[in-house]
Amino acid sequence: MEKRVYINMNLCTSCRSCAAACAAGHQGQGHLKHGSIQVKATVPLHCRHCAEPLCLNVCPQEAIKKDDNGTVIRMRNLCIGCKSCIQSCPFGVMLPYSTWHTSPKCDLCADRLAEGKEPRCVATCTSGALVFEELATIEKKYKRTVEGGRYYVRFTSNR
Amino acid sequence: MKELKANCSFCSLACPLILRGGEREPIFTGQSLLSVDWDKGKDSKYGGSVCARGNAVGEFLTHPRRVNYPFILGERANITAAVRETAKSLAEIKKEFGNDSIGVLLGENLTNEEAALAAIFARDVLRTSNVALFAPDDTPLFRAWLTRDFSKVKPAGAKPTGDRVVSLIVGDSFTEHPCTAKMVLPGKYGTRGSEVIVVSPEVSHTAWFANRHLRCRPGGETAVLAGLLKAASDKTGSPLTSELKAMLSGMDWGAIERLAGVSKDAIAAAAGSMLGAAKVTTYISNIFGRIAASALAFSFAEALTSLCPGERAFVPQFVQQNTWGIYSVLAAAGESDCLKKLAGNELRAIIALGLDLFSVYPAAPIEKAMREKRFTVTTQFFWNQTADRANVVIPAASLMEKRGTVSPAFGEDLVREEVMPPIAGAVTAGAFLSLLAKEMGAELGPAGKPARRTGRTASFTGMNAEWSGYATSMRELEAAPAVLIPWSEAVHVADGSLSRNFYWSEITCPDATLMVSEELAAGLRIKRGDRAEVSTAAADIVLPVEITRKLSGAVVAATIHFPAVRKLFPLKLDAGGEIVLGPVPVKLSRQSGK
Repeated sequence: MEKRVYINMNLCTSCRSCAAACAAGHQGQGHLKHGSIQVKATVPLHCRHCAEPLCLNVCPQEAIKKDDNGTVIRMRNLCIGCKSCIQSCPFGVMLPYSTWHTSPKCDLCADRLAEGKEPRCVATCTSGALVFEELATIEKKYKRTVEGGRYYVRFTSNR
Repeated sequence: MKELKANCSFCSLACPLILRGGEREPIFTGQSLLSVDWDKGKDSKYGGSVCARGNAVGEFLTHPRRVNYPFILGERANITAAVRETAKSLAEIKKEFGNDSIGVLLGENLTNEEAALAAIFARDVLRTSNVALFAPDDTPLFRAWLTRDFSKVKPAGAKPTGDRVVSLIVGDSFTEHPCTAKMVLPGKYGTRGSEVIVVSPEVSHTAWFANRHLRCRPGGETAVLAGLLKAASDKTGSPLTSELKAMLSGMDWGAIERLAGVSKDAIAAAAGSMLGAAKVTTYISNIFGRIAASALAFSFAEALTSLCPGERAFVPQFVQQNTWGIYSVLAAAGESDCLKKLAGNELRAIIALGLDLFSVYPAAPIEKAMREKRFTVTTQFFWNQTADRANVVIPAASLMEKRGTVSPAFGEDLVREEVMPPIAGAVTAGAFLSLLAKEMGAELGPAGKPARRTGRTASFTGMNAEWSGYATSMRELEAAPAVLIPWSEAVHVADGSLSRNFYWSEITCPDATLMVSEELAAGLRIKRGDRAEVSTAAADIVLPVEITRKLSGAVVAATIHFPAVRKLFPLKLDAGGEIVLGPVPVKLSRQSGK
């Protein structure tokens, strides 16, 4: 059962609670990047945990692997902070800096998943924009918002 | 792993959260690692979400930069010496300048019991009535609540059928109180025809979500609300109180349109939408004088909500958690003209408990008072500008570290438990006052359940005068070359305040910025990244410029969380001795060089 974090753009209010929760749960090293849209909104950009992750392929230390749930995780003890993964990410969602000589990488809060809880960013989301659901459910449930619709209405120039 | 249910202490929403203890140390008995978990219980407020501030609770409690020792003139001391020094200085000042030369200023990080103790300390030990809540964002709303009772305003007509939901938001609630979004947005997207109506001069984070954005002039929120009330009243002929009815009939639409900067049609349509909704909720958030004549705006908003025939709720959102509790305790203790004396430079000593004066409002008279006064003692979490100027600094204990009652909203009393004992060295304000009283030869008994003034009186006198004063101040703004309004960034990051010390504040709001509309920037030939001198009647400062489409016309906004920016707002007191804030006229000039 592959579960992913999905952001419903209709609901995100740019409050950055997700980033704060992420950092608070990872010893001050946030794994969540934010992107700006037309200088008007800032939304979280999550790791997609790709089916065929480029970051995994380019890692010279084989520090990145895919676990049984399809989550792409980085093993800190192997990471040398070469930033190859950051450069290779096609979505640009890995943070462009490394801390403690390692590249930060979303692990979907593996510690919380083991307890049957949702990732920190989802748990704290103040508007309900972030959900953690199975891929098939996301595709089915949020089809309309994926297509755009109201989201683009929010950012039209006359607003 | 231990878990404890608690409430966030950073704003008036008091979101529920669960604190989890680290595995290595016994939890809640020492400075063990703490992490925040989310209370996802069935009836949990806001679905158990907390904003960035709430997520930083664990970080805050064990923050390495917290003040852990008392300081006397910047030198590390112990609590006995600090109390002795304070008692000695206060006694000298009392003797030389009289009892009324000492003022006690209270801030939100106190429980109701501590506020009551401070009032008793002032009365019995200092023998003065100089004790006041220093929270200019919130106090006008409290005064309006206590002195105007709208319970006689009845809804107009029968409850509309259907399930249309309308949320009226005055201000930028999603930025100032992010958890509001979870209450508002499901309504907006849940049913056909549901609406979010936002009243604000800028395209704020909240206004992005508006179906109707009543984009008013800076300070025009009050006029928009007056218009909404008038339109609703005209439409329904509803039973408003006679005073309110007389006041509204005296207002003409031309004046309302001019003051609001919004057309009558737009206002009337929004009022119609509210009257036809099955459920109406009004939120009002007034960070640092965003709303001119906020007490009046608050009253109009409440009366308007009461008129709506559907299910209705009026949700004033205070900036800080226990300001209402402290205000009601002090109101029960008696009248005080402490702020008048502070502004008039009459105080010789200041006891500032539970607040960072400079972060709250470093108005020129207050800065001068701190600089020139003979003695200041304060409780602080971090070393900030207030601590820098104080003679004695006592390490403060937060609301997480003490037991007591707080009142985050009207009618809501929350018993706060001690999540953990005060971090090494920290002293609760109550304990400090008891020690100080003892040193000054008095005994402060346990405060018991504090008396509070919560009953409302239906006195509408003064509303007309407030409206005239508002109209005059708006005319001044009209004549100004530009108007400055406060700008909120996602959650507070006030320089020197609690949240400024969290890692993410550097990301969300790295520095004070001046937001300038495209038209104004073009007129003044200012580009992004230029530095502009901002001059008001109170101060002149230089800020880097950001050009934005979120503002229009001759309006500028500055990130209000910085004392340097707050200083731009002149200190004015109303007839009741309360601080009055609002948008201010401003002159801008481009500074050469970067």
